[in-house]
Amino acid sequence: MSEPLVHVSDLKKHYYEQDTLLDRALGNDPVAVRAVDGVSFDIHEGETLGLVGESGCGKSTLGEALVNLETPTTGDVTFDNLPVYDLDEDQEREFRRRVQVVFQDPYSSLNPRMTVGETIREPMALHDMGTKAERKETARELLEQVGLDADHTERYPHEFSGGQRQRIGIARALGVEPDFIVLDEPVSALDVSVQAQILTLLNDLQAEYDLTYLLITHDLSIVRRISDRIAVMYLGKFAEIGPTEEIFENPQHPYTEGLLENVPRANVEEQYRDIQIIAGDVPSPRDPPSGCRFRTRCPEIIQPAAFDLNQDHWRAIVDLKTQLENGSLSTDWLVSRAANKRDDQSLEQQLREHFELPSTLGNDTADAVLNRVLSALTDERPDDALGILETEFESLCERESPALEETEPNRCTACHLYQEDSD
Amino acid sequence: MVLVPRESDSADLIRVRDLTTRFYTEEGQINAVESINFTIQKGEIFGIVGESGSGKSVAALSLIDLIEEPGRIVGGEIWYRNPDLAEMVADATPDAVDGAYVDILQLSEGGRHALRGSTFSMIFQDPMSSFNPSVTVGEQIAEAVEVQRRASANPRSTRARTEDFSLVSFLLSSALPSRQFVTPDSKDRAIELLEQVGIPDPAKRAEEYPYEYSGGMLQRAMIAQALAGEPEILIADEPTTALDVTIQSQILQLLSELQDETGLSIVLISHNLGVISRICDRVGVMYAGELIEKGDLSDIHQSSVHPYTQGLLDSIPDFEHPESSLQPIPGNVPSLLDSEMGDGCYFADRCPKAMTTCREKPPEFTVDGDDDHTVQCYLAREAYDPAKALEDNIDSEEPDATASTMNREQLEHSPVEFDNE
Ligand code: SF4
Ligand code: SF4
Repeated sequence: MSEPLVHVSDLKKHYYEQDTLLDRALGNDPVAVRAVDGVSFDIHEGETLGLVGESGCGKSTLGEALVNLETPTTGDVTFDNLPVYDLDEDQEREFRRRVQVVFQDPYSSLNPRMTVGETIREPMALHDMGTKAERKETARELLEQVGLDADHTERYPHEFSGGQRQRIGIARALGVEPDFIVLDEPVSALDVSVQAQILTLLNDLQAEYDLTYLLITHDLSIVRRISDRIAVMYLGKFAEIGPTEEIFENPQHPYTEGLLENVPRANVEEQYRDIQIIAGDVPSPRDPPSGCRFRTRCPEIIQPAAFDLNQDHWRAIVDLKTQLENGSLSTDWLVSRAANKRDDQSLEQQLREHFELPSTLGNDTADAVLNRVLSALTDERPDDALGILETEFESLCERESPALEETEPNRCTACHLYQEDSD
Repeated sequence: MVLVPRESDSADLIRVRDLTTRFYTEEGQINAVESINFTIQKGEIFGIVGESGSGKSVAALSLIDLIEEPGRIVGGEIWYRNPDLAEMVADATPDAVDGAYVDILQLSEGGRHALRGSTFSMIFQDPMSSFNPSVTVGEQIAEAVEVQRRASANPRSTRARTEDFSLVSFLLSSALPSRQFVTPDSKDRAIELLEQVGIPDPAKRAEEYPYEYSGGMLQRAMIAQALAGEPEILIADEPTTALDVTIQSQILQLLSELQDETGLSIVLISHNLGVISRICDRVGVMYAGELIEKGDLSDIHQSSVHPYTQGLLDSIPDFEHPESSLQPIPGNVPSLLDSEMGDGCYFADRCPKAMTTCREKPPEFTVDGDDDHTVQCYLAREAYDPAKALEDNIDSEEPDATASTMNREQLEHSPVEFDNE
């Protein structure tokens, strides 16, 4: 395979909160927000890499770091073999021409006081491309190419709809003849029918100009249309990366699987589809879970080697443990539950019902442990319950962070289920 | 249109007839909702799908009587089945009563307000804007509980009290709720409600402020608040649009479980046909202020007649069959300015099958004799005839440059924003 156009190695971007002088005077320790926490990948010429993830996963920060709008904490990016964070003035200028960004919000990303023609010509002028007359002509041609009228150069952005403004944004990016365009949620603000128009346009332009795209989006249903490969991001790390079709057909990482499964399908069978709901919220990047970052929500979290419980029961135990860990199962909760006994249920019965724990796990050792945990809870000793869970029911997924490893040619997954060294 | 309720139709909880809502702005009259008809059955989830500017949110706000200046419901009827209410108002407003049904648009303002929270309740896309940031979540829900308690304990005082303190006016005002208004009882009920919507450790979370909640948790809390008055109809306007896909699934599951457990009817408004398909029984498609096609899910997915419905389906990337190509609908949603709206079918300038007949507004037809599947399009009556095609109809090279974004922005206001202006 040829040299990649973009090469990213072990990129990290941490922000620090409570880092003001006042905080230091008060003795507050700075808190690191690990927005991007060690990702490595390549983007090849002419391809589209889709970067998919939910809000707060770090995908936009990663995009900004790639185009040098953000300086990373550590790690390197090369573009066409040049180090992006170590360019001389001329190289930097050239980089700023060859790499363009199209933003999500077509309402705020265009200057309302500039005509469409001025908007499109501005970057060309900045890069001394052509004469004034030539730039005027190019702007007209570009407008036509993105599906607008060449005579609209004298109009202002407010005269256009969202989809049209996004077309203008694309024309502006194209003017400087870039090689690489970062598309940051380019159609998320648009109606579905308009989204389809813009995606088709982006596809056509890529073919015509040999463009390389990084498409950042939370919307899986659009990424499949125009990405060759996709990377799935969760809490600052890649869960999985590989060819789009293979990932959609056969997702490996449980998070990818959950994401794909949970996208609502616009068809009549949707109501009857069996969907594994991914419970809980994304944990905070200030305090990411130990081991695998997805383990607090993962339906497939690995059991200790000694057990072979029903996976749903195991997940129920993990939920109990997670709630004890994050404090949402507090002494107060136990006291209030014990106080107003519902339907004459003992606190233990209530706990079993609440966490969907069965009356037996089908394994004597496991049952004995669980009984100890539950009696610690009924005695209002949640810390002891957590202690027992931690020693007796520890998952590999909590202990070790899975590395992003090749599982198949061109595919990498960060999950212990796919790793040689797993228990 | 005279409405004669038939015994067999008693499952209809709500019958909306010719509901029309307009906005009178400086730019002119905006026909946001134009003579729409639909029913809501007891215990069903009815979906309304449409793109931005289609009028779907205004339709929802009209239903719960939350249209604010410069908007006004200018016509139509909303018949609500409630024998007790019918009896109660029969003497004072006989025209507003028809058997067990009451036309709520004919009730006094106080009477209509009294239905908020107890009959109709509403949740929005952005739960942050529905909570007062400086009051704990538990207290705000307890307040909603208390409002409904007092209203039902003393119906005579309903009018006066709800005008000041109804759930909705409470939502609309940024005034601090008064602490003495919340009793230990209503606080307990608030915790129960939080538990019902799946918030872990509800007693502790009740003491927290809205900013301490994640987006998904706050959406749950808003649902809890909306349930405080044990409403019969919950209107959910894009309740999952701001949420991530895994959280969206959780909320949709919650709504459908609540519906199951409580027998609530839900009106789910969304631009996402996938979301609608997941939990709705029947669906209406809105375009340019009109409900252009209605039916059950399979009518819409498998035997839709309106070219816009078909276009909407074709423009959605298909998860299961990626090889099928996208067929974008050319052009944009039309302007809703009265002066710019033609006399014919509003979809004609984008319709691949527009005929000369379509210069006149299509009435509502039933499809294949099925009363539950209706459409506003001549294709229900006659097949497309190329000989009658409207010439030069679609210019797909150049998307329409006159879409009135201003109208859209105005129409997309949530009622809370209206109030903040
Ligand atoms: S490593 Fe464990 S917790 Fe993480 S995704 Fe794999 S199975 Fe799930
Ligand atoms: S009435 Fe005519 S123009 Fe309107 S949707 Fe039907 S065929 Fe198209």
